[in-house]
Amino acid sequence: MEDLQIIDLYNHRDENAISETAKKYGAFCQSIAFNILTIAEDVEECVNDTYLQAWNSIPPQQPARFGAWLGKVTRNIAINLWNKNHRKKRYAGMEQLLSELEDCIPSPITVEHEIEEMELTEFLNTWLASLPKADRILFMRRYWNGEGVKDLAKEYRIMPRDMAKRMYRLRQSLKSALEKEDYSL
Amino acid sequence: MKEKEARKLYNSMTNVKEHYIEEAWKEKAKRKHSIWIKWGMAVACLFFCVIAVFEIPNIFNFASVNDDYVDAGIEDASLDGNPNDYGTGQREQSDGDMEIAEQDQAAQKQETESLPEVSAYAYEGEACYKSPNNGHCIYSIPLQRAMGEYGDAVLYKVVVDVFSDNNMFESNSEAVKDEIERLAGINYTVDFEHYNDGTMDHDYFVLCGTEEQLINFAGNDNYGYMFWLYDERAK
Repeated sequence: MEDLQIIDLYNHRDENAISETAKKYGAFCQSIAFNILTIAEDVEECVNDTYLQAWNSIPPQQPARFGAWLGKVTRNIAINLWNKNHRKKRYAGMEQLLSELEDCIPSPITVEHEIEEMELTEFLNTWLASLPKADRILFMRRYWNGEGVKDLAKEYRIMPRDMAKRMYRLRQSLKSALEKEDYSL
Repeated sequence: MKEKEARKLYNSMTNVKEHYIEEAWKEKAKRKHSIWIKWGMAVACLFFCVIAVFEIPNIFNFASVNDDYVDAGIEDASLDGNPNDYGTGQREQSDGDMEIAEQDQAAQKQETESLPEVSAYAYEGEACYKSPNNGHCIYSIPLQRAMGEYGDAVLYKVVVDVFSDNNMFESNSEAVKDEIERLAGINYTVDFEHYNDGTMDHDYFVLCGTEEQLINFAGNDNYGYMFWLYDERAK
C-alpha cells in the first residue's frame, strides 16, 4: 500500500492503518529499535509504542516521508527506553555506538561555545550534505540505523577491518568539522 | 566522561533531514534486493544447467546411432560428418561391380522416390553453426531432429551451402554448379533453384535424399557442406 493511502487510513481513524504500517515498515522499525536496545521484549515494546504514537499523531500531523518519520519516532522511543533502562539492563547496541561517537567529541581546549541539540542537528545536516553520497549513506546506516560494522562490511564485500577504518575516518571528519566551527558538545 | 556528549550527538542525529534517513534506508533495501537478484540468477543458471544435462545426452544419442560416420559437435550444437568414407568405397569398386552397383542404385532410386518428402520441422530454438571444414558436413538442428524422428522412412528436401576453406560459395557460382552436376552424376537428386521475389534474385542448391545419403554424403574432399531443411533457407 502507498504511504498516502496508509496516512489516509490514519486520518479516517481506520485501525487497518496499524496493520498496514506494520506490514510495510515493521521490519524497518524493528531493526532500528533492535540496533539500539538489542533485547527482544524491549524492541517489541518500542515498536508497539511507535505505532501508538503514529496513531496519536496522525492527524493532525501529515508526514511527507512516512517511512523516515516512523524511523525517527522509533529511534526517539528506543533512545528514551535505553535512557530509562540502561542502568538496570546491559544494552550492547547503543553503548557500542556511543563509545564510537566519543571519537567525534572535540577537545574542550579549542572550543568557544557549547552547541545546543537543535543547532547540532542543523550542523549535522550541513556536514552530511558535504559528504559524498556513499559516505553519507554509510555514516547514516551505522550511526542512525545502528547497523553493525561486520554486516556492512559483508554487504559491501570488504574486510570488517577496512569498514571500521572507513568509519573512523568519517568520525574524524565530523570531529574536524566541529572543531573548525569551534563547537563544544 | 565523553559519554554525555556522545549521547547528545547521537540524540541530535535523530532529527537530521528525512531525506538522509530515506536515502540510507533505500540503499539498504536496494542492496538486499540485488542480493535476491543475484540468487535468482544463480538459480536460473542452475536450472539451465539441469536442462542442459538432460538435453545434451539426447544430441549424443542421435550422434551415436550414426557413430561410424558422424561426430557430434557440442560447441556449435551441430553434427559434423566426414563424407570421405563413402567416396573412397565407391572408387574401390571394380568395373563389373560398378555395373551391378549402378543397377542397384537405379532400383534404389526408384524405390526412394516414392517416399514422402520432408522439407520442414517445427523447432523453436535458435542455433549458431560454425562453417564446415573441408571434407566435413554440418546438419542444422531441425534437420537433425527430423532425421532423428523420421529416420530412413522419408526423403529430406534440403538446401546445401558449399564451403571451401570455411568460406561459402555463392549458390550461383561455377563451383556449386559443378558440384550439382557431379552429384547428379552419382545418382543424387539435386537441383539448382532460382527465383526473384521482386526485389532480388535467390539461388539455392537443393538436394532431395534419404537419411543415408545425407549422413554418408559423397562430398568433395576440398569442400565443406552445410545442410538445411528446405524451409529453413528457401522460405
